[in-house]
Amino acid sequence: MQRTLSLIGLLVIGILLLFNPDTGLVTAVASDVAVARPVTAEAPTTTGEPPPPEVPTAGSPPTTTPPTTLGTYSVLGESFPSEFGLFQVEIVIESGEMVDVITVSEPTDRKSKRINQAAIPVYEEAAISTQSAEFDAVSGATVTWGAYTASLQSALDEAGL
Amino acid sequence: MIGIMPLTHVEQVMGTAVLFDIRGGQFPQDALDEAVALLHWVDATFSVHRHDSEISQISRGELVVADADPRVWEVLAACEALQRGTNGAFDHRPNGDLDPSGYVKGWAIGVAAGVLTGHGIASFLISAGGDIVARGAPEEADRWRVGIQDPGKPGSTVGTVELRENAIATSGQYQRGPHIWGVTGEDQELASVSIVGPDLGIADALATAVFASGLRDAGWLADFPDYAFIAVTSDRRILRSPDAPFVGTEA
Repeated sequence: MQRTLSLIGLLVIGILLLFNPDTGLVTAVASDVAVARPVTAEAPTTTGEPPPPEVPTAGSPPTTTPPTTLGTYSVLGESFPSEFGLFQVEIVIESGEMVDVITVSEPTDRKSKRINQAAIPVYEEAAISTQSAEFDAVSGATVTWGAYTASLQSALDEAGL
Repeated sequence: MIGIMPLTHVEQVMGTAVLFDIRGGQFPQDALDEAVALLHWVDATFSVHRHDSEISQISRGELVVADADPRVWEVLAACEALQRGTNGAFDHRPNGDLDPSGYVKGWAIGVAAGVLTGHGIASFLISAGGDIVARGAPEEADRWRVGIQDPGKPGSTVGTVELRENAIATSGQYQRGPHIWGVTGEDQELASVSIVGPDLGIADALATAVFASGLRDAGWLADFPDYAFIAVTSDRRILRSPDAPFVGTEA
């Protein structure tokens, strides 16, 4: 519980830092980014599992949520297997740049949960950092980094970035 | 163009996800296929979890090393040398059974890197669960920049290591769990140990050994002059060798 709380705390700090004009990657676009998540939530794309057979309606849901807020949209990556389960990420794009990575599917068995609590925020930070050319990789980032980056890459490919 | 992973491949092998990040030019499918096949061969030959692996057969006394693949001999010789060189802190017979996996994974990644290099690929990075071999450099840079995860602070790194033609391995309780959680003693309090040096197998074995023994009892590290360490204590102090190519992050 304490771990969860501290994790939430760190995420909050991370978001604050992200949006801080001095430290953050996101400055003026903050309000647009904030809109991106509700948009995604309203128009969910696929989740970790292969999509269930669709009743044919107006076509299957697009992988890419159409841009709604002047260039702010999200793209879901493919899911990739790790030794503990599936990994899938969603990226948020603002003005042609990735501004956030959200892990939408992650292994949930007890062992990987323990690993992931520490690892996923690191991945997400590393992914955005890599875009800003801070890191090419992270050492000690645990075993599922590969599945994470593969999903991330597929999202970036889909977004044409 | 974000270029986060221009040419990448992820292979599930050796109990981990191995990421190939290849820069600069055409995707070398035949080279990659050969490197991946090598990793699967290593898995089949050295895994202690496979009943029919040569290591398991040797462990059961059904195969003598002289009759095994020459690379099995090579690996076991390296493990023996590392065990001596670390005063036993690196142990490839932890419970009496042969288990060279603390060296094999890094060694295999190094051999796979040699396969890519042999195909003329100059700039790439291979990461096996955060243990990384780097060759050349990414575009528009002269070094690969690798963050070292902050073991006590999710979402952070303690700093950056610059790599070129070398490797980094990191061991820590947060990562391996009970595997190397035999560490006790007031003077320890190491949360993670990273080793930077030319060979990933040796770096991985040394990182495990330093983490297990503690820095105070790792005087033997001086016998590995090509290997630098970056240790993170549980209170986030950084202890490192003067030659470690490390730039810290502000806490």
